[in-house]
Amino acid sequence: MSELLSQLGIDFSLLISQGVNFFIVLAVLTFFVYRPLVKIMNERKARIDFGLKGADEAERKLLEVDVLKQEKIREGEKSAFEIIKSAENKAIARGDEIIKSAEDKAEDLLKKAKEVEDQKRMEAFSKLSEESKSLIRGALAKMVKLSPDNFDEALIKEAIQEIKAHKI
Amino acid sequence: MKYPASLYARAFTDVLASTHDGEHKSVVRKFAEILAKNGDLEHSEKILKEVMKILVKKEGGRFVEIEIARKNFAVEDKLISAFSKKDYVEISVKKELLAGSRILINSEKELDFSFQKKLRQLFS
Repeated sequence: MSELLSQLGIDFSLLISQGVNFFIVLAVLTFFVYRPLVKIMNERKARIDFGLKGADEAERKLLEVDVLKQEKIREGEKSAFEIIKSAENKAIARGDEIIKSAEDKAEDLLKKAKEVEDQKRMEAFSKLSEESKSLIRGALAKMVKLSPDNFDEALIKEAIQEIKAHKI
Repeated sequence: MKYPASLYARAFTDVLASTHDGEHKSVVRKFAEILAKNGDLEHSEKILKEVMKILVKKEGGRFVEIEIARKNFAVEDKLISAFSKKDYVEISVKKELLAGSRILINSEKELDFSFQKKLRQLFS
């Protein structure tokens, strides 16, 4: 064995001392480098995980907000549509009301105008009638003045007949 | 007027009736004095008319007032002849009648035979 090792050029005591060195270095590295490093890396990983988790949460919340936003927009649109529709219907109804009121007023005015016209026509006719009667009476009176005797004779005869007939 | 014409007339006719013919002149004079005293002399025509009404009525006649449109003796005669001799007929001219006559008997009954009435009835 020792011949094999010497043929290979391996010094046993050196090997053992190097082995011990190796383990010392390993221990030192483990305690002072590997473990802190692993700790740091774990912490880093935990932070990254936390960050990723937060990002996921944020993304999820953003999605929720987005959904909520879309919902609110839809509701707003629906509400606006209803308001516009209602306003439109009211405007149409009001317009119809105004038109009807204007038509009624126009009809009233026409009716009143007709009444006034009829009244004026009646007044004009009445005036004409009175003037005609007055003219005819005037003409008859002038006729009597022109030849009163005939009229006198007829009327006096009538008076006397009446007196005698009824023994007044 | 201090008293109505009819009252004056009644008083006068009552006094006339209660006195004999010889005193009538003095009654008339005194009556005129009373009228003057009361300031009613200006209404003597109205009073006389009332006196005539009473006297005619006493005789059984009627007081007839006739209005004609124009003076016409023939017409007046015709109208007077339509009434009794007991009636007192008074005729006056009123141009507004135009033609014909209007008769008032005892201030109560009116008979209108005037052309004015015919015109009024026309178109009424």
